[in-house]
Amino acid sequence: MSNTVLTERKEAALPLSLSKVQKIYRTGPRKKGGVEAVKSMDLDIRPGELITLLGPSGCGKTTTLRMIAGLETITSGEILIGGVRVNDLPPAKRNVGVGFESYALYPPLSVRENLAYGLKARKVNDAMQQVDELARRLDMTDMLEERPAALSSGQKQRVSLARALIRKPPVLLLDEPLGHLDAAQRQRVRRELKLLQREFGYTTIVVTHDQSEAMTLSDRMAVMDAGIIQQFGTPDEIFDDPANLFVADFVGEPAINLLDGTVVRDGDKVLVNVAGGVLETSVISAKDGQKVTVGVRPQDAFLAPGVKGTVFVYEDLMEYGLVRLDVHGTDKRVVVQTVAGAKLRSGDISEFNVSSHRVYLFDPEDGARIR
Amino acid sequence: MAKELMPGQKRVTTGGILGDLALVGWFAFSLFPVLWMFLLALKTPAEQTTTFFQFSPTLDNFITVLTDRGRTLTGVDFKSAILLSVLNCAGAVLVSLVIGIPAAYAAGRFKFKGSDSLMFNILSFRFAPELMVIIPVFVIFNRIGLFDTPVGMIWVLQLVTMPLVVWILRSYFQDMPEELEQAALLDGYTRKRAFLMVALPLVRPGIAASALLSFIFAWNNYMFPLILTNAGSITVTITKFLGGGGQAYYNLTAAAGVLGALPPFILALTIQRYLVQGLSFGAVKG
Repeated sequence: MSNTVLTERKEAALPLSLSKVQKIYRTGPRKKGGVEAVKSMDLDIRPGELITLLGPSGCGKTTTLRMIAGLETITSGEILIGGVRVNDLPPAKRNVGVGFESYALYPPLSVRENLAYGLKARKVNDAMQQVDELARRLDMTDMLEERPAALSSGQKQRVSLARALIRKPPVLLLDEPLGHLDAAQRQRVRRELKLLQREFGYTTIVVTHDQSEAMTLSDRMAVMDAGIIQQFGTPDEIFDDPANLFVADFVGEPAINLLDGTVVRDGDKVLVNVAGGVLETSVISAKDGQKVTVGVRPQDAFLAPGVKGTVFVYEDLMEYGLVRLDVHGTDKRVVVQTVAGAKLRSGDISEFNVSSHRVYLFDPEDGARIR
Repeated sequence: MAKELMPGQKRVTTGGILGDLALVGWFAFSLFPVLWMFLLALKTPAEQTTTFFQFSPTLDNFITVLTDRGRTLTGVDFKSAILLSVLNCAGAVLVSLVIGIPAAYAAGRFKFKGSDSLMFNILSFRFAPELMVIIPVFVIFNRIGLFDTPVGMIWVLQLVTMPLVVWILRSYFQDMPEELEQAALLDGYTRKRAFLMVALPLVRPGIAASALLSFIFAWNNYMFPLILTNAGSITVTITKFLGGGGQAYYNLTAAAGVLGALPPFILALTIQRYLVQGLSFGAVKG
């Protein structure tokens, strides 16, 4: 029993690290290989840190979570929880708490019994007190005696979250924990989750496809695509300094504007020629005449002489406005965020510009960032 | 309360009435033999070949079947036959459940090499006619001493019931979200306890449905007890009442048939609550 995560834990959060973790689902005959769901994944998560795995569906984020929990075998590589290699430990001995996307609430039992279920397995004495305590924290005391079938999906999700939290596991894994909540609940549970996580110091991984959730929750976030971590960093780093075209495109709302451009070096200045005009950039390694994909975030762009376009539509969202410009000389349409109440009408000719350090250049072939 | 109608729907239509009539006709057609059996069971030997619906009913036939008079007439003991059938069928169902539930769980949860062919193999027991295997089974049973024993009977009836149990329950286990057991595993339960405490209680309706269906299949089996036992079974015994030597007791046969249909009927009523659930969720869906 010495080699279980349970005994290693001294009431503190544990670091979690993945090294070259790979998952291949065998499909056909052995020689043909299979589907590579996760390709060589490295992650180092500090004790008590909350990280999110963000990515489109099918990118391997849930598979990663299930490998950490012990519900999938690991094809190669290793996973360490608190320095203990857990590859061959059964789920029960890894002492991780998991919140399933499908809730996984046991239908014949009441919410209270569902919550106490995990404590009973570990022969906890004051199980009922702990259930009451957590229910108070999560504001669900009044649903303790209900059966799962009587709950709304939002309530179920909160119970499922509580079920993962109740054992106070050193590592907490949550699969889309806020996915089925409505907007108001989502914000409340998000705050509560963050508070609980801070208070108990769980090392937490949250899987989500919702970028605003990832941005607001995480200490650091890993953007995944096609079984690979595209970038791992703080939300600021991800947003301001995307590693490649995928990250730039996936994170940000409205999505980043992408235009085809050609680099022109003019003395000290580096300029990019896009169809409707010229933008200055501070990307120093760009070569003269190089074809690039130019990325401009709507939040960074402003209306000023630079690239010309025709206003397609202007939306006033009260806090700010969004203008969509058909860029002259291309079939591309860009979004520019403006102050609220801008006087713009469809068909007007307008221009936008960006400060030079907010112009991102990407290699159009492989999407790599040109810095 | 009147049923809510869809827009454009009329409450009474010619098609609707014709459909109802067709249904009534079908019910009459399918239930008439059963009604006939009931009436026949209440007739005296003199009336047994008449087709009148008007006669003075008597319970004599039931008494004859259940007492020594029946035994002197036909040489079989109806009461012991019915008891034997109950034991054999219950035994077969029990064996099927004990082995079939874990098998269905494995088939529903794990995909392994040859799992599909294995399932097909189990099902194939059902589409081979019993006549095809009865001679070899008869020879084997005689050799190894299983002829005319309860163990031998349970053994062959289990071939009838096992595929039903495995196939019905497999779809139940497949429909049940795997996360439920995985959550239990993460809570520290062992695989076995997760199966016993989480998965099993949830498929209770399926167990009830498959147990009843397989009991009925075993109960109605005629070929195996006819060839493999002397002690008889309910099905074989009922046919004995048809008599021999120029005298046929149709009324007694009918009375025996009515009595013979009672055990599955009672069983169905007792587990009806589970059964309706069972048949509508999972079972035939898959």
